[in-house]
Amino acid sequence: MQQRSNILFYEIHSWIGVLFSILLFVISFSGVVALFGHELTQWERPEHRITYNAEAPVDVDRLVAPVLAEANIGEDSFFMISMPDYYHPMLEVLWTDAGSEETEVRHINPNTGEVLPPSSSDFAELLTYMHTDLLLPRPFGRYLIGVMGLVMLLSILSGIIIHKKIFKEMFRFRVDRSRRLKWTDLHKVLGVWPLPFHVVIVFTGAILGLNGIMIQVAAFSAFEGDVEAAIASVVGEHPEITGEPLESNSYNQMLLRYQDQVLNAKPQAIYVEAYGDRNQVVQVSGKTDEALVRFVDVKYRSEDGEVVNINNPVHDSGPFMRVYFSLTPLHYALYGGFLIKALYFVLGLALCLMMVTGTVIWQIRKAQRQKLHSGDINTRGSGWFLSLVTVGVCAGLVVATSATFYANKLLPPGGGGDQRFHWIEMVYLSVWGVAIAWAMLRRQIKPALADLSLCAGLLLCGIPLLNALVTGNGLLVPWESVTLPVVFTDLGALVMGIICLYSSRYIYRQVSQSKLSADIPQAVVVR
Amino acid sequence: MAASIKISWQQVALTIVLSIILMFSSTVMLSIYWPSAEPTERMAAGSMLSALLWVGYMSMGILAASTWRAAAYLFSLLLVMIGLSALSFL
Repeated sequence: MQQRSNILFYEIHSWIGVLFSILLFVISFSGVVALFGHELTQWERPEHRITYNAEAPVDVDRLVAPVLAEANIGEDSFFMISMPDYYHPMLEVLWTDAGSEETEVRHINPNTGEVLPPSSSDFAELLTYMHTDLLLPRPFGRYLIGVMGLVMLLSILSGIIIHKKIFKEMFRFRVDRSRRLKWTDLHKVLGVWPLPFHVVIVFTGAILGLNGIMIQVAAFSAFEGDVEAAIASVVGEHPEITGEPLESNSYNQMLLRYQDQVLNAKPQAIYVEAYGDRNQVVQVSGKTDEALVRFVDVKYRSEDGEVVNINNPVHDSGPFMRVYFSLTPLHYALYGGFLIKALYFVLGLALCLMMVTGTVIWQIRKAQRQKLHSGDINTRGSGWFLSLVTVGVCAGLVVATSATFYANKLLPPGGGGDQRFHWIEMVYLSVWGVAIAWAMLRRQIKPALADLSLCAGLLLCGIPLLNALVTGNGLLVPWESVTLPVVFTDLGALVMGIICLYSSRYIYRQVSQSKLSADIPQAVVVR
Repeated sequence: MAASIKISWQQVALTIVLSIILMFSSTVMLSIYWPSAEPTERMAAGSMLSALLWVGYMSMGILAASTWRAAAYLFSLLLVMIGLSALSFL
């Protein structure tokens, strides 16, 4: 009975890998890139590269006054102000225009008060959207991501069950054995060492993906069908619009009150409801450093400064709500600073590599069963087509992501944000498509992989140069004032580029050596 | 792992469909009966625990000895959950 279960779990593990590993790789790799969304936003906005001074006071009332004087904000419009921080050192004012219902954004330099020309974050948004929705229409893409998270969770569980000697296998890497065993050991090492990370990332990803539908179902039953009550329990009641104008309004006062009330919290954003109405409510959201769930929201009535609602999950919530609020920080490494992000980056790449090694093992096993030359997947036997698709999609995604950096810097600014977003998206998808087509036309797995690694390596290594030439700023222009997120982006691209170039050289060498040592019977098998 | 066990595609399809329905049913049931006075806490417990339970439902369906047994196990669970959830709305 137990052996039957083991065999079935082994089959589940294998089939999930075969059917979904490419899609899971795409989600994981785009997630590794999306981790650095904040850094990439600053990289793509050269005019926002100013040094952030956390101690400098920000006079919000004075800074936003010229923007609000021209803005057309209605009483029921969405309106928020984001405070400057390390990654976004500008004050951001965002609202929905009462007439056109378009979203408007303005960025203000907090040091000079200058209102900057509109600048988009298409590039960072695209790479994040790829991870959260696979560029599919909302919310279906997100649900698909959630389902893939569940599938991955099942794969992890089945992997743990079938590997009985899991801790022994952590330290076993038989480099002198057959090719299949080497790949199997690599797969196990990559799977076992970062196992806690994999479980956390996959579980949080599954919940975040399915959140839209699950939370509605849960809210419907927990609040006996009253979804409005469920929303109000988290965000508070929406103020009633009276139609009478508000006489005086100061965001600075609300910020001061918040800092007095919530100790150790730094205000991050201001949300305004019923703008300009006598019942206007200002919500100040801030972060504390005391826990993984760090935000504390306080709502004030503008007329008399009275507190309307406090949302402090650190102190007021039960264990499950705390876990629920910690899903996003845990998934996107929004805690612990840059070192945690770097750790997530390495472990995320291990996750990607684990998926590729799993596919390789399956293909070698398949080839061995069909008695192809020593399990060689570089032949046109079974698994050959799947291998080419895997190389094209996975290595092609790295090339496409690298090419997007160039699209961001070289495409003209354009009229509307959406238009530019679509241009960058088109470059991304076109390059990816060409890379997949190239792998197919090459018809040989290793040369195709080497070509795409070379291409990705060259593109990645050129990113610091591109940044320096187009913006006059970055890693290669150290005498200019450069911010750390920009340096990290340039440096990260350079390091990854060198790794890709080295991998490409290594694979080319392997290909040429195998050609030299190939004898006639093997050549017959290849044909 | 040389041996191989064949399970029918009907069993796999049935397990996938029923496990998804069961996941939503567990969300509803846990959101109602989770031992907490706070509705938001029950809501969070229901939405998160049901995702973990889905893995269990899938395993239960796939490991069942036949399609009929898989259907019997999963349908029984579904009936219990729907019954308990319906009781609270009555």
